[in-house]
Amino acid sequence: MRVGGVGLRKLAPLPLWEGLGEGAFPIPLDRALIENVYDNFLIKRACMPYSTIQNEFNALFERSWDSFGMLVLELRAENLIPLVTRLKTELGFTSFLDVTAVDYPSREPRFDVVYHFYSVQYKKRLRLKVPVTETDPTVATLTGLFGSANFMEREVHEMYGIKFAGNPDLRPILLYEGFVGHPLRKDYPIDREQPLVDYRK
Amino acid sequence: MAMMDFVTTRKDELVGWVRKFSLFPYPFVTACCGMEFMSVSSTLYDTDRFGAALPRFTPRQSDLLMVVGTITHKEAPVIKKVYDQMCEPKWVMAFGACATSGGFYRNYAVLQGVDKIIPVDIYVPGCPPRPEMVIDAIMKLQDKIAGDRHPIFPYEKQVPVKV
Repeated sequence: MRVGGVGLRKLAPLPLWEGLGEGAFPIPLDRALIENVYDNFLIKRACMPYSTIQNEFNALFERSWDSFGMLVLELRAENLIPLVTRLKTELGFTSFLDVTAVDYPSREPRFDVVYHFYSVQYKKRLRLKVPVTETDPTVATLTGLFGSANFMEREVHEMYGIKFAGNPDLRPILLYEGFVGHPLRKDYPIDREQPLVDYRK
Repeated sequence: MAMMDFVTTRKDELVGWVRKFSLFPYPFVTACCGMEFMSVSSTLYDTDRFGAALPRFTPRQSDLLMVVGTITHKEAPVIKKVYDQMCEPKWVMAFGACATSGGFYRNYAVLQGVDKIIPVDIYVPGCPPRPEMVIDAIMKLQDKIAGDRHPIFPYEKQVPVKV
């Protein structure tokens, strides 16, 4: 059977096997099979609830909560790579949206490293929070899993001083060479200037 | 034979009159004020009426540096080099609140006014300034040029433009 011009002409709205005899297809096309495929692969998987993550991955994070309809997981730094690997391979979180950090000056641990992911398959977003201390602000890099993590981690490194172990290139992007300190930390003075050109007298 | 074959004037007034109607601006456009610069330099407001219409995109051929937009510390060496490449006589206009004083950016990144590193002749406030204000600034700068000293002869003391 030939179905020509698929890209150019619209296919017939009726099933293509109409009018053919028995045995025209290698598998029997009965209604139960079609409904099974439809239910299991198109509807149910597309509506994966967040409780799936909470139930299946609960060994890899500390606590979880809902933030305006988006699931937030708080985890320790050593569980980051295993969790993100499983999220990417099993649940389709293949889009790495953002990494940034939050500074809580009076809290211990002081920083939160925040990741955002998007699952194209399930159309769901996810936020990960990794608390790190001021004395050892180190998390593992995600450049092995997502190439786009490289520049975003560089920016977090220059702005907050978070160290990403394994990132191949942590030079500053937005700041210039010779800049001292991390300007988005709360203890950086708001009016401190580090000019490159001497001011006029 | 005509009755008046010559006029008398002062040399500085003559040179100033010539220079004030041949301003060649160098637009150093970095931010949103550039939209307003396009507006003021195109048909409706038309700085060509003041002889300041032809942007020269090389600092060596221009004599009015228009700093249009926010200048960051990372960008300061660039604008300093551009200013140093311009030939005398040269004037600088700080176009908009950010170039004038840093505007509302008071942080680690933004230079608090371009007059910290280069001398500025005229400031145009506004965020962004109206085109009428820019035209007013050009006219005030023309008055300043017309009333200034213009040492062009070798025996005159060559002084830079006073700020």
